[in-house]
Amino acid sequence: MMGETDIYMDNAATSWPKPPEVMTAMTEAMAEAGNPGRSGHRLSLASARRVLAAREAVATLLGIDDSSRLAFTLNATHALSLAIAGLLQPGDKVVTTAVEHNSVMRTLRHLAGRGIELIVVPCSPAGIVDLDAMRESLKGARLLVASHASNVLGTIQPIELLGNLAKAAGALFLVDAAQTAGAIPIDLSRMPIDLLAFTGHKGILGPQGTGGLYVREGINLEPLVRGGTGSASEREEQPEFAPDRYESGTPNVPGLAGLAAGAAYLLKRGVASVQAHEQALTAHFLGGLREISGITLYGPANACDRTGVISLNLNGAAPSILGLALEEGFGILTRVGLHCAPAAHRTMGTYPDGCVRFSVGPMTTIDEVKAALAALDELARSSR
Amino acid sequence: MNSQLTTHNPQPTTHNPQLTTHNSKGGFPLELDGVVTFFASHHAMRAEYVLRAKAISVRLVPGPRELSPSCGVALRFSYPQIDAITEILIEAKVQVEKICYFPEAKAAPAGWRQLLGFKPKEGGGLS
Repeated sequence: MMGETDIYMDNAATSWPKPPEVMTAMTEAMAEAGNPGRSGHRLSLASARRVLAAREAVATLLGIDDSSRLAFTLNATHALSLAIAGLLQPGDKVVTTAVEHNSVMRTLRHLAGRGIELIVVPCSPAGIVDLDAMRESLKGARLLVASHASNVLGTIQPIELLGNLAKAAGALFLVDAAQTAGAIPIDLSRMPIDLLAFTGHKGILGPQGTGGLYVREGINLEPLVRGGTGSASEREEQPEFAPDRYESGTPNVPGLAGLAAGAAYLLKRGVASVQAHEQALTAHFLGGLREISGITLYGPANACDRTGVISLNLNGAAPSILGLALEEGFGILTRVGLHCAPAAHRTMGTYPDGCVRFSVGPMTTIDEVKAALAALDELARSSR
Repeated sequence: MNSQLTTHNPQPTTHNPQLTTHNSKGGFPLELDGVVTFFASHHAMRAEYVLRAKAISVRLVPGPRELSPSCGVALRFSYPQIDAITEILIEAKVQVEKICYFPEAKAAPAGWRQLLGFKPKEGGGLS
């Protein structure tokens, strides 16, 4: 259990706390839980309405006009695998960046050993992709995969520029929005994005085990999993139509009910307002860190170029020890190490030692940021 | 059994299952100077479960980079209990990467040692 004085600074791993209505919605879904889309009775229909409400709420949040183009998955990793493995064939060329999470990198490395050409475009130490190298690398490519924002550096990529480069080269564009969906405004009705993977348990404030993939109309992926969909039951072949093509088996209805409640909270509060809140906290954090001697800070200098992620090291202390000292001495919960992103750490020059990552969220307060700064200041003074 | 093992303080230890003491500024009540690292966090979680079931005080911590590149969680224990712990982990089929003596005090800045619960040895010097 979190203590009353604990300070949660690990929102980039999973957001906490969730709005109370997320828990309420999940409990209600459990109390009225038929199998959605499988039967016509009232409990089945009640669950089916909850799944539809989740699809509509997330579609509204991401600017998706037709919510049938949104397939639910277990998480962003599952969605990325569905998109990548469902699209690429031997002989295809795929391009990505040097700050990707292993959810992208491991999938692409696996395929690179199986007849698919992989190009990893370098990034600056602050995590911005080299656009000239990108333009060159995209020639003849089938797919560009890029994260909207790095999970280690917080760096927001120029996603529309990347989308336009992909389009000009005739490549499809898959965005890993694990760090940004719900935290930064995304409007798929006008952004040059063909596929977008998101998770439900970070910015959208839903429970773990929820996520999804947006697939632009006209793109037909090979499913990752085949089976019962409650539709076209007379046929022994997988349906062609979305979202059923990608959603076999009974879905996580309580999880999706929680996801819908998280999305509804955000639609009410406004994603732009959440972003402004997190940027203000990040700006204060970055400003305070510059006053502490011994801090090495990674990522862009300005809060407006990043998400609420602040990665650092202190006076050469091992990140695992700094993380432990923050928790033991001050109740501050961070994430240390390589953050499942060795590529990003190579780019920023912290491989293999890693760093300590603080990440603020919609519920983080300015007092918590001040407490984190005070703790780092004390640790910096006592480590000299 | 392990080339990384060095001499240890054989003093008996007392058990306290509640090891999380943040904001106490006193660090751990025990000197948890042994570390087990794992390839998979499943085994780390299971190690904690089976050891606590036998009333052995342990603490899951961020894995020290010096011991393992995988940066998952590691389990700290009181090194004098290594034989009992090894036996329990083998019995429970918990797969470990390394079990070793690792007083993190040596790697931690001097000013953090009390915070992290590394007590000075009798006669001076750190454990």
